[in-house]
Amino acid sequence: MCRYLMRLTVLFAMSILLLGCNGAKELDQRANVVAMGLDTAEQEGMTRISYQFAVPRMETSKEDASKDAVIVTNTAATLAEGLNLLNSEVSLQPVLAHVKVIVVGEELARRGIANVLGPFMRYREYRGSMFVVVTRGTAKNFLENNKPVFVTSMAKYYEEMIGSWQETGYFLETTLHEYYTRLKSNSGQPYIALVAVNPESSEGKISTQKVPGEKIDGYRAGDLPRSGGDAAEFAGTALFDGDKMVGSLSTTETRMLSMLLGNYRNGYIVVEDPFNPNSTVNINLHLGSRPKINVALVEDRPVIHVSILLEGEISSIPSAINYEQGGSYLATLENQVSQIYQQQLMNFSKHTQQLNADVAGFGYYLRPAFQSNKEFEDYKWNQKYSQAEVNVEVKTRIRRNGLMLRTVPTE
Amino acid sequence: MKSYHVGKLGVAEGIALVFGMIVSRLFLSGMSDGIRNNGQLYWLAMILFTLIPLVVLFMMVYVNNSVSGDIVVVCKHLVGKAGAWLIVIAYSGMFFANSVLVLRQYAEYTLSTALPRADFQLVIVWYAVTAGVICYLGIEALCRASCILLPFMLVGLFLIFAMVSPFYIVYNLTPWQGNGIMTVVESGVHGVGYNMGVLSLVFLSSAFQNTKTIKSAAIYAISGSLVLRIVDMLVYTMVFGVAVGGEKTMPFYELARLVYVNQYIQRIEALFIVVWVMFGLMAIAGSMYMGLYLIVVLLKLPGLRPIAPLGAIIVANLAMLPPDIGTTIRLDQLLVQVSQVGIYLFPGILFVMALVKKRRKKSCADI
Repeated sequence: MCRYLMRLTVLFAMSILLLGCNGAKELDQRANVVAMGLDTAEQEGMTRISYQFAVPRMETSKEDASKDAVIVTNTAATLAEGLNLLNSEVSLQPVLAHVKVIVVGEELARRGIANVLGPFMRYREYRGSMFVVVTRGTAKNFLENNKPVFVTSMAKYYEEMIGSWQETGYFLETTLHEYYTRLKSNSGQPYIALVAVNPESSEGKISTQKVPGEKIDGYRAGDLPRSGGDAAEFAGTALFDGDKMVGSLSTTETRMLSMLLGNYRNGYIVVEDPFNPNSTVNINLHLGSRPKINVALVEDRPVIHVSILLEGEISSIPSAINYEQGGSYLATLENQVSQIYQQQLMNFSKHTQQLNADVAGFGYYLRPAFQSNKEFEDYKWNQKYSQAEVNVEVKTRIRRNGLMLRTVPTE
Repeated sequence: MKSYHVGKLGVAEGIALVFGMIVSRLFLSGMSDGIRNNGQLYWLAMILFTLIPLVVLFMMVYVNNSVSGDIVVVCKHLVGKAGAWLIVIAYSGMFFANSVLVLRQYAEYTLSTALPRADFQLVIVWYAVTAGVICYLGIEALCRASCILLPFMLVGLFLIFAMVSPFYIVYNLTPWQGNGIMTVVESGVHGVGYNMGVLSLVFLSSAFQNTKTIKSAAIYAISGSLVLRIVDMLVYTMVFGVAVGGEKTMPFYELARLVYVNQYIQRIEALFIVVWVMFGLMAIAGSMYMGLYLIVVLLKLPGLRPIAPLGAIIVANLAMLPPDIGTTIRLDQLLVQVSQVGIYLFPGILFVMALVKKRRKKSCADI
C-alpha cells in the first residue's frame, strides 16, 4: 500500500513538474518581430537595424495592416548588441523566432553582407527558411513606407506577397538558406529578390528594352509605372559576386533566371502578332519540363548548352487570326515565342557574365565532370563563368487555346 | 535465472535495442564531421563501418556458441581470468563512456535548442535520472519501449526528409568521389566504433530467445540503420552541400528547421525535438545498461537493479566534467577511435582462440 502511494505521489509530482510551463511566456508578454531591416549606419563599422513588430491586438481590427506593426530602429555594432539594445527599448520580451523576412538595404548589400549573416546562421531564433530581400534605398525606409492595403497583418502580407512569385516569375522567393548555400558552394553566385517602395508617379522607368517581336519591357522594383495599391513592390533580382551585390536583373530577366532554375510555373507574355505586327497575342507560358543544361569543358573553357521546352495557352488574339486551327499559323507563333526567349536568354547570360555572377548555377552542372572536390575547387568556376560560351535552344509548344475554339472576325 | 537473463526477447526487441544505440549519433555532430572529412562519398564509409561490425558480430556469435555461458565465462575459457577481466572491463568502460558522452551532447543540444534558459545541471540530471529509471526497469522494458517508439520515430524522420525536398540540389552529390576514395576507406575502417552497440546483442545473448534471434536482429538493425544513415547523408548533402553541411552542429535539427511547406506547415522542429530526445534517452539508457550489465556479470552479482541509481549518478557526474561542447565532441571522436579495440582486437583474439581450441579439441578427439 505504502509503495503504491509512493508511486502515485511520484507520478503526480512528475505530471506537475514536467508540464514545461515554467518558462512559458504568454502572447501578450512577447514582442514578435516579423521583419528586420539592415542598413549601413553613419558611424564606421556599425549597422542600423530596424525591427518591425507585430501588434497582436491589431490583428483583428479593420484598420490597415501598417497599424498592425511598430518599427523600432537602433544602431549597433552587431545584431546581438542590437538585440540587447532592443530589450531596453521595448517593454515586452523581443522574440525573433517569427521573423518572416530580412530586408537588406542596397548600400549594405553592395558593401557585402557575409559578416552580417553570421548570427543568422548560428543563433537558434533565426532559421534558413526566412525570406531575404534587397531593397533599393534603405531597409528602414522600406519598412516604414510599406503600408499594405489588402491584408490586415504584416506577417500575412510577407507570406502572401513572397508566395505569389510563382504567378509571374517577375521576382523569386529567396531564403536565407538558399543565399548562404550558394555563397559557399563554389558552383554559382547568390541572388536575392529586389524590392522597393514605388513613388506612385505613374511614370515607370524601363530597365530592359523589349527584344524584337516582343511587347514587354523589363522593370526593376521601384520603377513600375503605376499608382495606388500597396506602396511596396517586389520586382527583379539583386545579383551578387560573393557576398557583394554587383547588379540587378529586371522583371523580364528574372523570368529567364526562373526558367533556368527550373521553377518558372506561370506567366503571361505578350508578343507581336506574326501576321499582323500592329496587333498582339497573349500567351500564358510555363516550363514543359525541367531545363536541360549541359556544361562541358572544351580546352579548359566552359561551354554551356541550354535546352528549354515551354508550353503555353493562348489567352488573347485581338487580330482574330485563327492560330487555334494549328498548322503553319500555330507553328509560326510558336517559333516567334521561341526566338524571343532564345534572345532573352542570350541577353540574360551576357548580362550575368559581364557581372561575373552565375546566378543560374551553371557551375552545379559542371561538378560531375570532376573527380573530387579539390579538383573542382581548384578549377575556380566562379572566375571562369565570364569566359563561358553559352548556347541556348528554346522550343515552344502551344497546347491550348483558352476557352475559345476560334475567333470570328468582326464586320 | 537472474533478473537480467530474461530469455524472452525476440527479433523486434533486438532491432530496437541496437537501432536506438547506434542511430542516436545521427542527431549529433558526427554527420557534419563525416561530410566535412569525406565529402560526397561518405556513404561508402558508412557502408564499411556498418558491415565490419556485422562481420565481427557473427564472429562473436561463433565464439559464444563454442563455449556455453555469459561473456565472462566465454572470455575466461578462451583467454584466462585476467584476460576476461581486461576485456569485460574495457567493454564496460567503452559503453559507460558512450553513455556519458552521448548524454552530455544531448544535454548540450537540448540547452541550445529547446531549453536555452534551463539550468545545465538540471538537464544533465533529467537525462541521467530518466536513463537510470529505464535501466532500473530492466532490459525487457528498455527493448520493448524502444520497439514501440521506433516506428513513430522512423515515420517522423522520413517525413522530414520528404518535407525538405524543395531544397534538394542533386548536383551537390557530385563530384562523386568527394574528398577521395582512400580518405573514405580510411574513415570507414576507423569509424567502426560508431556501431559497437551491435555487440550488445552477443553480450546480452542470454536475454534473447536463441542465436537465430540475435543474428536476425543484428542483420535487420544494422542494415536498417545503414539505410537510414545513408538516406540522411544524401538528403543532408543535397540540401546543404559539403561546405555548409560541414558547418552545422546539429545536422538533423537543421534539416527540421528548414521545413517550410506552407504558412501552416513550418517551424516543426519543436515536434522533432521530442523524437530526438526519445532516441537519445534510449541510447543513453542502452549504453548505461550494457556498462552496468558487464560489471554485474563480471562480479557475479544477483541483480542489476541496486546499482542502476549508482550508475546514473556516476554517468551524470562524468557527463558534467568536459569543460565545453567542443571538448565533448573531441572526446566523443576519441571514443569512436578507441572503440576500434572493441571491434577489431578483442573479438579477433576471442575468435582466433575459439578456433584454436576447437581444432585442439578435434585433434584430441581424433587421437
